Amino acid sequence: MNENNVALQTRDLMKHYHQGDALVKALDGVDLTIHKGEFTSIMGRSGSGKSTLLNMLGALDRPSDGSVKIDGIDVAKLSSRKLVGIRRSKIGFVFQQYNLVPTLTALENVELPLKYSGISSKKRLQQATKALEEVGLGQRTRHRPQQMSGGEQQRVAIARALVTKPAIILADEPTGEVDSHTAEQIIDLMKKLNQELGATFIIVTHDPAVAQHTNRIIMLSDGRIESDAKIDAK
Amino acid sequence: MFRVKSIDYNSLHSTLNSQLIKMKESLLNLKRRKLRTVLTILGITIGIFALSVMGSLSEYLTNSIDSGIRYTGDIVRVLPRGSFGIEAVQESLGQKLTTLPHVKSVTGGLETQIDSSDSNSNPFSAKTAFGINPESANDVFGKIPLQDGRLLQKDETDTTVLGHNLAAQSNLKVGDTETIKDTKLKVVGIFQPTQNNQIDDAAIVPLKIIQKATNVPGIVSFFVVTPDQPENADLVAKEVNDKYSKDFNALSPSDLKKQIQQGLLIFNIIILAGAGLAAVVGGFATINTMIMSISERTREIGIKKAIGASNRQIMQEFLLESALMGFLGGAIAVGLGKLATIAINAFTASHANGLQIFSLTPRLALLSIAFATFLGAIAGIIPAISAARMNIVNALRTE
Repeated sequence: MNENNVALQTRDLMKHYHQGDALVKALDGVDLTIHKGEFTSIMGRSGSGKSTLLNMLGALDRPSDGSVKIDGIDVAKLSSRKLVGIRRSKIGFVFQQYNLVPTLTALENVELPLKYSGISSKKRLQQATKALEEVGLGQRTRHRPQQMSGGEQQRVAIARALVTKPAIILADEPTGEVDSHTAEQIIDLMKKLNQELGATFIIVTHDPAVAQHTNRIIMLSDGRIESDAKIDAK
Repeated sequence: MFRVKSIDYNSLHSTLNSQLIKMKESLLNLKRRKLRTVLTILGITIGIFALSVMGSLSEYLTNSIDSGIRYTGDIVRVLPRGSFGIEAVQESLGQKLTTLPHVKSVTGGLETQIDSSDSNSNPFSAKTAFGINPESANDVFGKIPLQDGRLLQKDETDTTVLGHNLAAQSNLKVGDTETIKDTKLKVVGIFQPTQNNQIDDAAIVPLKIIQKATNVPGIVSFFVVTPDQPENADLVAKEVNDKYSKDFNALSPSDLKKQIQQGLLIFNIIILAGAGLAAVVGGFATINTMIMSISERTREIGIKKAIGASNRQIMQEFLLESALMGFLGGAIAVGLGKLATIAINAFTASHANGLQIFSLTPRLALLSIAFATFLGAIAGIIPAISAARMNIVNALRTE
């Protein structure tokens, strides 16, 4: 495979920390390559290291050892200031509880990452409006989170992750808070964005029904990759 | 390559716009916890209210003293010294002073209170008649601007010039007749208001009339020495004190100024320290509120950092919020302070002869609001730093 086509790559990734006297090996040597345009899910029981891995891939935390390359840049030893830059330009996050800022409208929430990057308000408005249209919420830009359903809030969150055109979108249990019907809609939306815009998704989930929709399922167990299989998505 | 820096109005507009959005978000965040915000702002309001009202008393006194110095700073007041301190002496004693260098003229004066039947008279300043030789009126009072008419002139015996308050209270105009010490005098001039009660409540009267009315012909209670040049006033005062220390005590204008300013400084420190303390208490309330607000929004801070906010941007956000609380508290306090000073001034004016001792100047109002905003920002610094330094992973884990 072409090196330029790699969105994410980890080599012997370790995250160890002390809990009292015990050494916890949250990640214990993870080798993983994700190519651009992939639609991947990461599964595993709680405590298997899913969230820790997501934190490393999203440049939220630094590994104890090993390397993490995001869009070709090794972030393991970057300063916190540079990590902010990586998060701004390379990563989009979708969280379990939507995590929109309650005081801001849908549009302002989507504009937020652009604002932190110092994009002009005119461009912000354009890009954010477009992102909201892409998730099918072009009509609800002026609503605040509490005026929207869970599914709508999560779509706003997806638009917010999408708006900076990141190399990877990381979704942490994106369907964890919604009913199965809405969950299906959300996963379908992400799939559509993956196919139409070529956005790279990594979805952490414990729900096999969600994982079935992706093209690749990585199983984690005790901080290691137990299995990594390409599948035909449903 | 050279980069030419020019003003990019588009980006200027966008910066302004994003500042407004930030401000709006801060306001909305404050609205989220209405009661808490209101109580915090109230804390600042009380402190700044105290500061602005006490400050306006200090402003009044400062202005009053400044104008006193401005109008009489070029002349030297000389008080006769007797065995019991300050005494009334023969007018001719002033002759001694005329021989000193740099002295242009010497004139004696007699100061006496005007009887007032008004029981509500201003307790801070009694109406006073200054008797002086009419031909010296210009040397002594020449710097005080007249609102109408003129000063006393040579050889006049039945004229008077009134301070602004005195004239206003008795509703007197130039050309009217006023009875002072049982003598009917024609009002020939009225001074502009000076904010100095000694001048505003005074009547300038020919010396002979006061001497006659108080039954002390040829006696004066003070001398006024006019130097040849205004800048020689201190020199003349020193000469008088060096040569005639037994007979006279000269008040050099700059010593007088120093003395008054020292007294005023102590007064200002006392009232401003008290009011400042109240404001600082408001500041602590703000710190408390910000800490609570940040611990409630831990997760939100985590999210914002995850989607690209830098530590600096998070800090700015919270600083803006606390500064905004300070600003609102300050603005409300100054508004209330203005109302309070208007009310108190109206009360004292109607009960004590036009006395108005609070002046909330624009300068003081701006200073108070700026101080409140600064206080809010300062109070927000530590909470904002702790918010900015928050560990993202831990913050995101918070429910």
